[in-house]
Amino acid sequence: MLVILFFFIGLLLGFITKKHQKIIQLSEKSSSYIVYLLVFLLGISVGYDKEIMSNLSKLGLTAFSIAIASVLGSVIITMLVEKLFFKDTIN
Amino acid sequence: MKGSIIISICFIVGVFVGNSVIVAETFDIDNLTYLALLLLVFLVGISIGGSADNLKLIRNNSIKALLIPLSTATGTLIGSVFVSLFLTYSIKECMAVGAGFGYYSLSSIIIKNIHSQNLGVIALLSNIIREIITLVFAPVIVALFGKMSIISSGGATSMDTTLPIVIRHAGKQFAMISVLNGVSLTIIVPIIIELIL
Repeated sequence: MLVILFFFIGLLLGFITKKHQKIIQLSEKSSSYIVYLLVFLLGISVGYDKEIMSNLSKLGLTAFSIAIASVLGSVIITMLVEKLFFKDTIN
Repeated sequence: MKGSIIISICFIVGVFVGNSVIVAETFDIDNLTYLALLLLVFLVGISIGGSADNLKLIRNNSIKALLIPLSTATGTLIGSVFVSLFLTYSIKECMAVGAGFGYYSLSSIIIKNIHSQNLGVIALLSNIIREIITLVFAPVIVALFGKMSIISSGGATSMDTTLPIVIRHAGKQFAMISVLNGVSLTIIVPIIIELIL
């Protein structure tokens, strides 16, 4: 829950400081470096965890299946929505 | 694309470091990860709240445009529930992974923290793969499922990394809806994952 709280505090703060675009740009830039740090740390804990390391191919296959299913599910529903609601908007 | 390459490199280097060096015992990675995560969602919040364009876009667009992020989310969750029937992971776990909507960094770290390392890794890989599928198969997706489907395929990334692909394969007129889709999904990723798990 703390995660959501921090997100909304940020959202509010961003809204208030909208005039100071430097702050916004700075936070955009630094957030990509934090992402790199986080993924690096995630890598360390994965590499350190012997159980995950021995299952990596199984985890990868599961990840791939969920990705394919997510893409297929969303494009099919969107295709239906497009046909039902956006007929006139397109072209 | 450049982003996902850097991310992949960071992950792979991390795996090698963790596997060979005994860093993991010397300092508390979990705590550091959690603090960095809080900082990340805070900064992401600032950039979304602070970009006037994003907010104006949401306010000015008709309710109809919101159908696209809604159908992206619904379709993704239906797909995840369906595929869970064939996997050893539960419906909830598969839905949580799918609910990253391509936002691999945030989703994997939240899932790792509130559920397990294993599922966090699956979320990271799965959501990176989603972005790569969108980038590589965009022409096929547009041909088979229509122009707006490519926006859905990109999920939360349709506002940045896959936006150029949407413009190229669907057209400039879809850029606004694409950004709206990305922003809406980005906002609901942390919320929906916490609710599912």
